[in-house]
Amino acid sequence: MPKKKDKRKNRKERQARKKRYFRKKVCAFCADPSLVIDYKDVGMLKRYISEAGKIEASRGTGLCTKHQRQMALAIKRARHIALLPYTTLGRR
Amino acid sequence: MSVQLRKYETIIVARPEMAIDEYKALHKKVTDVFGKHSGDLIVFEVWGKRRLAYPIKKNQKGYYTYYMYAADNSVVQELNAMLRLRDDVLKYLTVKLADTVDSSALDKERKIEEFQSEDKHVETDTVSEPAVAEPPAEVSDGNEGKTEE
Repeated sequence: MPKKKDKRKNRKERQARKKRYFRKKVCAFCADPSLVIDYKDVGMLKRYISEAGKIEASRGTGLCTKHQRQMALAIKRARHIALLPYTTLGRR
Repeated sequence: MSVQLRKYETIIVARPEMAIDEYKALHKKVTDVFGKHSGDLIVFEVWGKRRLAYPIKKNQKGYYTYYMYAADNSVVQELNAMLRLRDDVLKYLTVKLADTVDSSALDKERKIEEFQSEDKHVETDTVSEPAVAEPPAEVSDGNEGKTEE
């Protein structure tokens, strides 16, 4: 028991020192090279748009610059052929 | 002298309420363009009627067909020009997949679907409601375009 308390205190101290501490996200497409960004794969693309249909920022998606760029292009293509909405606001 | 073959894919969204023969006629028009120039159809898929993410010309649904082919730019030019003028095509998109074509490997990929009878291709529903903003952290599972009903 006392040991556990110690650990927690340690972590708090560490966080105090490094003020903004957050877990680094790993780009999903770098982590698994077998995944390809495909504008036809609606189920996958949907995870990277907001509820309003907007493309999520990379700070939200955790994608690296390269894959974020590819993702944005894929979403735009999917929108063009009406696989994804441009916006879902203003729906009755 | 020789033309540079490249790999392209085209998705055509046609009006949903047409008869199956009209889709076949449209398909024939497309393949005619391939025949006229040096186009080589590699993959043809009928996705069928799908819900559109937004209405196009008052249509809530569209009839999707997918082509993958090796061709030079004259095919793409003519195909796009043809599609632009047709009233039964709501939307189309051509994307270049590769700058070179490995013609020996083409036959392995070759997959040309037939048009199915009407009832078989109705309702492959995708897209309609906004995705519930899932955390993009977990991937891997269910990459197919499914929606939770």
